[in-house]
Amino acid sequence: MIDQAIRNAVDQAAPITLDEVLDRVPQPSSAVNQQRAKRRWLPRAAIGLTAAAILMVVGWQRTNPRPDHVETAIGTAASPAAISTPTLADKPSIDRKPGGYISAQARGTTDPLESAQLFLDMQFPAWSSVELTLDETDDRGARVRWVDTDTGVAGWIVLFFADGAYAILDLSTDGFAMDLSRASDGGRGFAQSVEPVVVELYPEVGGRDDSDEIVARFEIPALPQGTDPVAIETPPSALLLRAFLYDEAGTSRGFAFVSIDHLGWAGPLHELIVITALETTDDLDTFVRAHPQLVADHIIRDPWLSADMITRLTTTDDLPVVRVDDVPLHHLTQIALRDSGAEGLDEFMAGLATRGIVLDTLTLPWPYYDEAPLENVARYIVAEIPSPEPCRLLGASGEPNRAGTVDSASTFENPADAAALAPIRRAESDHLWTEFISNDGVVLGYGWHRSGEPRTWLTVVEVEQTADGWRATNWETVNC
Amino acid sequence: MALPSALSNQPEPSADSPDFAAFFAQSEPMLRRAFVAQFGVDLGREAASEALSYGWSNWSRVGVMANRRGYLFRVGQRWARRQRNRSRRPALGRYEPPQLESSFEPGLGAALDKLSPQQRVSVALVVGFGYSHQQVADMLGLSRSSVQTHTERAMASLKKTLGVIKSKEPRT
Repeated sequence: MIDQAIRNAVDQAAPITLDEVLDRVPQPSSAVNQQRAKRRWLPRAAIGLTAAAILMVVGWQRTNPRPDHVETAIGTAASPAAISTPTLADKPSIDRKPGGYISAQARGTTDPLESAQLFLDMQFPAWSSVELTLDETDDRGARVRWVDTDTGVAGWIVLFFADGAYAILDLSTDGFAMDLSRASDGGRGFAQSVEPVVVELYPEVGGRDDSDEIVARFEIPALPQGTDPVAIETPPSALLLRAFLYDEAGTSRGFAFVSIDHLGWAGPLHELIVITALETTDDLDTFVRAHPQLVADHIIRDPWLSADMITRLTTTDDLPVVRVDDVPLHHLTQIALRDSGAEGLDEFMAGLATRGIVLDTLTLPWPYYDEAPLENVARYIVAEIPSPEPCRLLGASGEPNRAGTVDSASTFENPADAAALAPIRRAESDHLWTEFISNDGVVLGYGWHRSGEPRTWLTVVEVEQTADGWRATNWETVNC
Repeated sequence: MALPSALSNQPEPSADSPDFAAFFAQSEPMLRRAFVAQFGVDLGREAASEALSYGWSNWSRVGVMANRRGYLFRVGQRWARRQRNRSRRPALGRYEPPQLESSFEPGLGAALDKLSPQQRVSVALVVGFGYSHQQVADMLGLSRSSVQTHTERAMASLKKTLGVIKSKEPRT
């Protein structure tokens, strides 16, 4: 009888007539909007189609991707180096958000202030009465200043214009910055604040994990104590989190929208994004899962992003946009590779290209490790990289040296990255390193040491500059 | 197929409009039922109407799609979420799922509310109206096995909830 009860419940809605449907068809948009759409999209569509044609002829060539070390919308992993120390005077750019991007669950209207208000109403209703002022608009979007006149707390809302409406790109509170990366066991990241705050993270409203369950809660000391690592113990399914800031007395001190869509924590060297105009990602998903030796992780970000939004939210300029559409068409998949020099990667990339359009490839300058970033404490001019043998010469007993050749062919823009990211056995913990340079200033390698009980560990890594960038070649480690 | 006179007043009428009328006749019930199951009677019906309206306005493009119904389901879903999000205030309380009351089973509305949206849509279409798992999967953008799983779990939940309710009622 359940089937009959369900029919009875669902069919309470009267059938829709064709006339009723046609009555809903909106009138043609205004001449202004049409003109705007044409101005923005016709050139891009032409470029996109040209690029698509080139891609079809040439195919995807891994040897000619974008530069390895690129600051792009999704590529920069969170790290102290990637977070700009927040100040009360920061003014965000109306552009693609570096270090992560936000999919717009809440589309707005053609008015930026109204759109910002709609977004606040949905995601941060407790702050919906803040004063909103339009700071700047341009072809890309708009920047709105929000101010809580009661407390003086203020910040920015950045909107981008896509699919004929404004949508949220970033929301921040002055003096607070946070960047998070996704991990299989939760999330990691760093946060800074000019004043001590307690941060509570919740999933976005209307997203994948539409709940009021708190994701994480942590305290951040005020600068200049430094950047504080933050951790999310349980991986949220949400890609976007709402951050609420409180002072020690529990008074609200601001709010922010935080993306957790990086795949950096597992230590992949590359991220790339792929779109497909297919109406399913099953084939792509199966293909990616069949290559665990190459793929560290992947996320199907939003299966129904429009071409317009993808173009706005990523750094790609070669998306073959053929029309402006209010309705999403594209699946967007973000993939983290284990090693850009791995065997079989060319075939893998060719396989991806047959299943979608590879938008972007980029290197993560600072994949996450469980250790804190390295700190340069010394620089020595040497003829060649010293062996850590002197450690043993001190008379300490210890295990024999371990040494090896770096298998990875990954190259990096700077030598420190090449050493830090080399897949080698290394001395862990304490993150001090020494840079060895030749007398003409060429970097030869780096050394780590860890002082601890009962042993001291030493590791050295040799690097060399190639035509494509810096790579690690040999390593040696010893304890004593 | 003759079209209603209202078509002549609409902007940019499509040469493929007869196809739209056929598509409309075939897909309106399923779309409406899916949206009602997901969003409730009022918003669900509006969403279906909005999606079909979009389909008409863009029929020259939508009409050649392989999965027109699934595409328009996304259109309506996105529209409905926008409408819903605009009116809700999460800080004042959690989102309340749509109440679907049935005169045949008083407890059904509350039982349906406990289901996830996809479970609700799946069980409504498969069990309530006899659509195949594959038909529902195509529209929801899921695999057939996912729809089957949603349906089975939804049925288990409904039976459990309704069974509890019935057990508390005196037998007549």
